[in-house]
Amino acid sequence: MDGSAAGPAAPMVVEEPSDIAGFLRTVERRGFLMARVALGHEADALDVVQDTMLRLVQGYAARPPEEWRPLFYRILRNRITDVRRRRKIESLFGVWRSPVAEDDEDPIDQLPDPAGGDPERLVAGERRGQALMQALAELPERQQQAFMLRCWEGLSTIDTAQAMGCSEGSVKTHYFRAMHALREKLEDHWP
Amino acid sequence: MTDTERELARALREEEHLLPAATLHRLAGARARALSAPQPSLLSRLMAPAMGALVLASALGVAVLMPGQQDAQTVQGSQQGDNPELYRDLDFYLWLAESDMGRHG
Repeated sequence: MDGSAAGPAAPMVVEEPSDIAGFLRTVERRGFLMARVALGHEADALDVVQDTMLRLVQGYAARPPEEWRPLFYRILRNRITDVRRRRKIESLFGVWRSPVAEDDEDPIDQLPDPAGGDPERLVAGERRGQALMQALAELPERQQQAFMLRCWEGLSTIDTAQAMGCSEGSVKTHYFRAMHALREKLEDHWP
Repeated sequence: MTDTERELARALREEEHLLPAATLHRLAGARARALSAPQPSLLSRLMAPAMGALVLASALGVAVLMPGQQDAQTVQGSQQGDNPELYRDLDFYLWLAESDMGRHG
């Protein structure tokens, strides 16, 4: 792992699909993984992503396509916050929830895995990927958001600030701290 | 972007392609449901920002008309409130309301 200072990631050039269905197809997997990292619960992450897509379609499908991405992540962040608040309330009343998906009996779970044909890739990739996901999940909430939106999604600092509801300076600070923490946590996997 | 950032971003994007088929199927279903959901009426879309603006105006009105009711302790307490996320999100809801009002004239 290189030791250079963690500057903000260069914005990626993303060509937005001009239709809302195409756009959702490009963000649904990433949005789901981000929600799963943030919430640690697969079913909650699916609910959050579905609700985010619904709100985007119902409220903002008529907006210019270049506005969809920051809006999607802003709504996603707010839905994640809602779930966290609900959990706090539930914890006050002693409601217990399993950290894994509750619908283990769902026949959809029996579908063949598309990545299942390459076991070596799975083992090598999953080990690093799991370490990265674990390290991400351990970051404080705001660092987690800054890292996921800047590095993973490739949003600009301005769009990240809009999605996080904070200043560009705060985004840079959270991002710097996130990179520093991830370097320490992942040095065995990315030496 | 540093080499580390590039590698981490690549690893995260690889994770997207390692999602189980069952999850992909559910995501596709969620997308289809979102796309086929009925659109809310114009009235209901206007009511949300209008109600938000009304609540905000009421809160500001109370603050302006009854400044003596708030002593220093109360102000300090509210700034260090139990739920800072609520205040952090307030600007987003205002932004949404302003955006919607701008769209609808």
